[in-house]
Amino acid sequence: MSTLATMSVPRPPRANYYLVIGATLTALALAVGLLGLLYSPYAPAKVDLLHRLAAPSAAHLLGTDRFGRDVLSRVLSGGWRSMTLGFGATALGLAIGLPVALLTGFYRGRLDQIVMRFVDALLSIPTLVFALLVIVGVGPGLPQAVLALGVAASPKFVRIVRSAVLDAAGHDYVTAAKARGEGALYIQYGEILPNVWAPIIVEGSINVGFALMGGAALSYLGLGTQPPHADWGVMINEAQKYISVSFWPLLGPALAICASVVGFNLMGEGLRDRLHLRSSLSDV
Amino acid sequence: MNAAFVARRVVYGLISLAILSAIIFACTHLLPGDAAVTILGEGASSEALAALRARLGLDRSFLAQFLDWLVGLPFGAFGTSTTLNQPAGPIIAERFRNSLALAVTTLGVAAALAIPLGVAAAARRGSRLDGSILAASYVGISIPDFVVAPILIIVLASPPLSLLPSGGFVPFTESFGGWLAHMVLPVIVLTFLLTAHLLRQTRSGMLEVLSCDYIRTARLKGLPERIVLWRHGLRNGLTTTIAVLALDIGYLMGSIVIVEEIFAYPGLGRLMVYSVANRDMPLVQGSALVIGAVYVVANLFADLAQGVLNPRLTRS
Repeated sequence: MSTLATMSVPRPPRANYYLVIGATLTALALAVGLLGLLYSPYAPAKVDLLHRLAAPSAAHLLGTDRFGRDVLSRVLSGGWRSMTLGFGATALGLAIGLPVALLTGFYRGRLDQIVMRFVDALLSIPTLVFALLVIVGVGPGLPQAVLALGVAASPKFVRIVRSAVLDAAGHDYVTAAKARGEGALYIQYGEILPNVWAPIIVEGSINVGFALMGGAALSYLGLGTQPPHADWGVMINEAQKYISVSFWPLLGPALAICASVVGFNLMGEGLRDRLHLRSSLSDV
Repeated sequence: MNAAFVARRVVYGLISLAILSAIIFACTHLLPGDAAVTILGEGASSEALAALRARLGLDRSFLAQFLDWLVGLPFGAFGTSTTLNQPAGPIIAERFRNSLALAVTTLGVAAALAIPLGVAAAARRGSRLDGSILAASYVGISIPDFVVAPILIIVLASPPLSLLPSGGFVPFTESFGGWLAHMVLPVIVLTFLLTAHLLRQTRSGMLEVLSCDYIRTARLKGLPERIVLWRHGLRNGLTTTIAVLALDIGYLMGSIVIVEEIFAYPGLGRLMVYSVANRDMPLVQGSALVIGAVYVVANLFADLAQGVLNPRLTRS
């Protein structure tokens, strides 16, 4: 009996550690990306053959790579490219996914069934493989990688947002808007969209982390950012070839990627807790 | 299990495969870029380009090319690789076998680790054990495979330990030990990520089951917690776990692309990267289709397995 009684008492609000840690790491990653646009201790491409593969020191806080280039400078100056991959792909994925989700969730019926069959088929292709399929058409490069990852993320957004739209469309305010004779577009974007922003923000935040990782993977494979330009994936690729000689060039970009992916993921999870949403496709 | 349920699921799977093949074919054809130019280079004469397009069948209509490709698929005809000048089917089949060895081993190891850990975490929800298992799985999900892999290479495949080869492949028929040794590192990297993911899913599936009334009943009638958890709970929790395992095969097929590339393991993922970099369309289409088909088939089996475990699902 006593357990049943205590169960109905809500637990005291706990600090949302996920949100705090996630937001901190995210802010840090963003700061690195922005700072790198303005400042780096050395020119990121400056070769110093006398100090190749050096361990961290006062002069080079994260050491140097195989050409003696300063790793910290390259992590800083490559940051915005990695951020662009994360944010750009997510924005594009939403730009494709949202209208489709609103349309199918609002009208339902035959159109919805057909579109969802396609979305399900697309979801059976792993995101990275889907991105590779797009890359094959548009070629390698940073903008192309953003396009590829954005297109690859869109079916997931359609799925998640559509279920939120279906939910919202059953509410009285939508019926009321229809009764007032509002246009379908107004109802979709003016009434339903403002009520489904919570899952969009949560999934968006988590997707930034995954797209950042996917972008680094594409760069790692030589299909994203093209050398001599650096982003974190390119740097890991270059560092990996020399890890039997020196571990240091790997450390900087690896830490940067892990911290930002953990940051965006935790922030998304924390927001999900805060907004009282159930977990969804992002776990898949 | 009733036949209508099985038939419905099989038809559903076939429809998914048909849509999948259409999407893959469209991706590689509707997007800008010309295979003939890629093969011959920018400076090729227009006659040479036209001749190559005719040889590759690129001058025909999109629909004709698609149907031609589609009809060959059930017979293992995936076209001819443009860079290797060999039929794509046997190449894909061989690479697929290698990838399957990685994937099946990984799934086995990950399930053996993740299910007990996930059940344990769910049973002690909110405890320190639960917290550390969750935190560890978080780290596992967030560290990219191309970071885990170099670290493992430094520790296990470089001096002073040099326990394992840092990459490459030895055929099964040549040396069993060599074959196995080359699988260990890729499997560890893949297991690391998959376990983290599967563990979280098992935990949340079990939490849902443990909040059911029949679990409370089992506890109230005085059954030991061990039996409540592993016999009553897991049997129903398993339905979720099986569905998750099938979904995770998709996740795994995605990781395989990177991991095979890192360890120079000749599987489907590495073939995909090679064919994308060289714009070898028949190989791109074939490997993408097989990767997608693995997911579709895995989900079909998961549906059927769930039907066996929970016959209520088969009636609708």
